[in-house]
Amino acid sequence: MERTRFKNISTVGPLAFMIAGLLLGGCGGGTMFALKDATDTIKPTSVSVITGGAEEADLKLAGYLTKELKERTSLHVMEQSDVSKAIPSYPIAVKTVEQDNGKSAWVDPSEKVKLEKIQTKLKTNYVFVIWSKGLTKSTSCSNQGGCTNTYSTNVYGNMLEYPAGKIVSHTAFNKSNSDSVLALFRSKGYYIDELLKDSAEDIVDEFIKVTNTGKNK
Amino acid sequence: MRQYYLWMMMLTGALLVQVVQGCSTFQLTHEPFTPKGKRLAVIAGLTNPSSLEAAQAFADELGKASQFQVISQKQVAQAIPHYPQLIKGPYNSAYFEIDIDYTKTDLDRVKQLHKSLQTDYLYVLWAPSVTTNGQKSWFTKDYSIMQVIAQLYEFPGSREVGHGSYRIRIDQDKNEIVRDDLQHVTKELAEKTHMLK
Repeated sequence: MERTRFKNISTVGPLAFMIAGLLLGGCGGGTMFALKDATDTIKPTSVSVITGGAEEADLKLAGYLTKELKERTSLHVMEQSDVSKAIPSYPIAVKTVEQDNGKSAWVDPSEKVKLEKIQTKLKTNYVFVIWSKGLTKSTSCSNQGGCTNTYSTNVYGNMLEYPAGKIVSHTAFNKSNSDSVLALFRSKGYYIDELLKDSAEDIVDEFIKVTNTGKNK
Repeated sequence: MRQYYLWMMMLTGALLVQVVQGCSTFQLTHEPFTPKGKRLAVIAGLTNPSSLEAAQAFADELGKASQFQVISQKQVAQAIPHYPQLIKGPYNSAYFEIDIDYTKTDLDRVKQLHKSLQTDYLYVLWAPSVTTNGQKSWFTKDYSIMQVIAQLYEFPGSREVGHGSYRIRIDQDKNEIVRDDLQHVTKELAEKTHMLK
């Protein structure tokens, strides 16, 4: 099994990721999007997506989530290129506090000031922070020959409402995707891109249900 | 049995060296090459810790191996506001492998950052992923592999004069880049640019 290593969690072994993955829902499951307080309502105003990680998968996930929100919700969604322009040192790592062995993750309270500064530059009512943690690749080969690669990641997210800077939602799920014989004809990274696209799609499916902000309403 | 493990260890070691040192790590894009100055800066094109560590180590080693006057990472950080800054890199994707496309780099951003440095050369590197093999063995030392892709630009003109991609080992016990691997890379760059010390 191969995995990308994230400096801030380098001491955590692959086993811990697998356990976290299983706790998040085994072959895919968990919380795609849920309000922290069920009585809260999400106003159809503006939102920007930022990644709390600094790896390729984090950036791609933020991009796909931005695209999905923009295409399918009535919120005004800030483009990733505009996020980069507004925050020159983007992406900036945002620490999390994980609960229940990774079943949920929350923005570390010590990051509040950092996020406030970011929000003043983005000027959106909501900031959706998203992470892809512990991307792994497992290869299994059969006796008949031929191998299958399975890619898996743990997706975490928090949406914060401003000016209060209050966390209003959380996301925590594990998602995996396996390649096929078609992998020979696909570009490198194709199956991980698909995994991240599907993750973003799942989040927005639930986002629309929970917040009632779908475009076709 | 013991002999078998010794063979396995030697084979794994040889493969690892092959992975790190087997291929060319730097190719000139315009030949013949004649250096037009000595001042060179190394910058990270990503904001992740791996890229920053690689830039730091590469700058150290290139300074030792070549006649380039490599400006320190401290000076780079002082010169470029909000360093490190994200520069779209020369690849389509970079998870476990880098899908290279040297035309994808955001050259405007490179030019913009160079304005603060005013060096003759700019070596931009991206270390988008570090992979760890989960299959651990009692008989071999565990290394993570950092994948790096880089481009060398010449100024004025902001012309790409060389590029390359390579893998370097990270000693998991010390959590440090294996300097021998980087020395191989910096030596090749210095040789090909006729700047070997």
